[in-house]
Amino acid sequence: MSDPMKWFDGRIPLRELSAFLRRKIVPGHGQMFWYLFGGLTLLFICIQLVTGILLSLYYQPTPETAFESVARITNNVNFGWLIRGIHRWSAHLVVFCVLVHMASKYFFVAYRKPREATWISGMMLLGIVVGFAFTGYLLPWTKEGYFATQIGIEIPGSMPLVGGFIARFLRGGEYVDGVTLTRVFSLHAVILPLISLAIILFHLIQNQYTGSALPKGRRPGREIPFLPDFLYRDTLAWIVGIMVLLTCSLIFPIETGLKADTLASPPEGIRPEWYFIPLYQTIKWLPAYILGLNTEIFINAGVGCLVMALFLLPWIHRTREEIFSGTDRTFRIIGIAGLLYFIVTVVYSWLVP
Amino acid sequence: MTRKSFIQRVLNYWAAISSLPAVYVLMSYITPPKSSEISRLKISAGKRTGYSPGTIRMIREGKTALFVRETPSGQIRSFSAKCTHLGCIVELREDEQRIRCNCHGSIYDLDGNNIAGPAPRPLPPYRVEIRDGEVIVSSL
Repeated sequence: MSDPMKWFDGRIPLRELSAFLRRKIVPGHGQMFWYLFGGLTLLFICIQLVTGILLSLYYQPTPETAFESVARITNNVNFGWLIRGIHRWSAHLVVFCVLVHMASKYFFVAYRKPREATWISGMMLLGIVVGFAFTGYLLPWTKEGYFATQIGIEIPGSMPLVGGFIARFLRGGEYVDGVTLTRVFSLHAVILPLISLAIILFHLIQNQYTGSALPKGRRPGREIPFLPDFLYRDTLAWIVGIMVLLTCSLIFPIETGLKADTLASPPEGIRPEWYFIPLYQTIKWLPAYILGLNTEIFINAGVGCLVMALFLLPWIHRTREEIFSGTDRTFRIIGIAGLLYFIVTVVYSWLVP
Repeated sequence: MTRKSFIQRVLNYWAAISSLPAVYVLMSYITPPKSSEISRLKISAGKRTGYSPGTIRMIREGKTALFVRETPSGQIRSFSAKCTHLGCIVELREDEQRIRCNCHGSIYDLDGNNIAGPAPRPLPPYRVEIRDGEVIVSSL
């Protein structure tokens, strides 16, 4: 066969796809620094998928074997420490990139019509990434992971009426134990990946359809071809991303930690991963009761309202713009305040354990 | 409404209704059955003679962690070692004469009363009985 592409003709539209990519034009602002984080998120998610599959070859999701199997991956399996390190560091980078990506879209007001669906699918992906992080933390069956899961489930569990059911549903029973571990493994390795793949596909198709939003108040720049200009710059960002990931994985390898003892006290100074610190520190600062009501009710209501407001942001923004004729800076101020609170709580938590 | 669109609508409703049992079965399956372990709790906390006024012990058995304490007045009391804030196992600090939760910094006195931090309630008490010289702790 002289031209291997010929076989695909009439079977798979590879030529059409290739022609489409060659014709594709990207707006100039698509090359902005902040716009690189969407692609980086996708890169790290792909890395998570590959390293996750590799880890699942040795991981055993039972309380008796989980810690030992992770220790075996780290200490005995060839390059197991590296694969595990990449998986763990890549998880941090996924969360970081998603947060930067969402924050940039927020400040550029990129969620306006017709990109509401892109924003909502992005919010869903943020939730799923947090879900991945939360479920992945229990899998090595370490002390930190065990108590983080316990607390993470108790927070929605303290809601009136439905809380008990939610907690039991997440734990798979009354306690965080072997059933929780298999439940969490199923979520982490099967359910969340399937859901996220569908949403990522939707997000990309939607982005392809509507294009990248022009940041508010910015003039449209010169358009550039997707191939090779745009892809070249994105590839450079990917290479930098991979270098950062490998550097972190090599210089700061992930330790095995201490095996979870379900009836032992958590170690002093225990704290969750950095992206959960704002919530953790807020819980720590607030008193047991506010206005005679359990504080966890306010925490749940606050988180629920925040998530709801972010989902409905395109419509909330539009309503305010109609009232203030587009001169309103409220959202920018709220965004900056939220960002500052995030940074302050993380720094404070590290300085004052 | 045409006959075709009527049949189409009936089929849609039929598909929706017929999927309800499947949804019910699925939801029932993923909802864990209730455990009776909490209500059946009964733990031996050692001989009564092993305690003296001021003694406090942490007992871990099965999935339960609790404290057994002899008060200065000679009364044996028991209470849970699970923080009433978000369920972490608390730590006994005998040198500080207090019980502390390392998760969010709640502090209890040696009787299990919450005295600082975000814990909303005292540590829940257990029933204590002395049978044949043995301290038996069970759910209230």
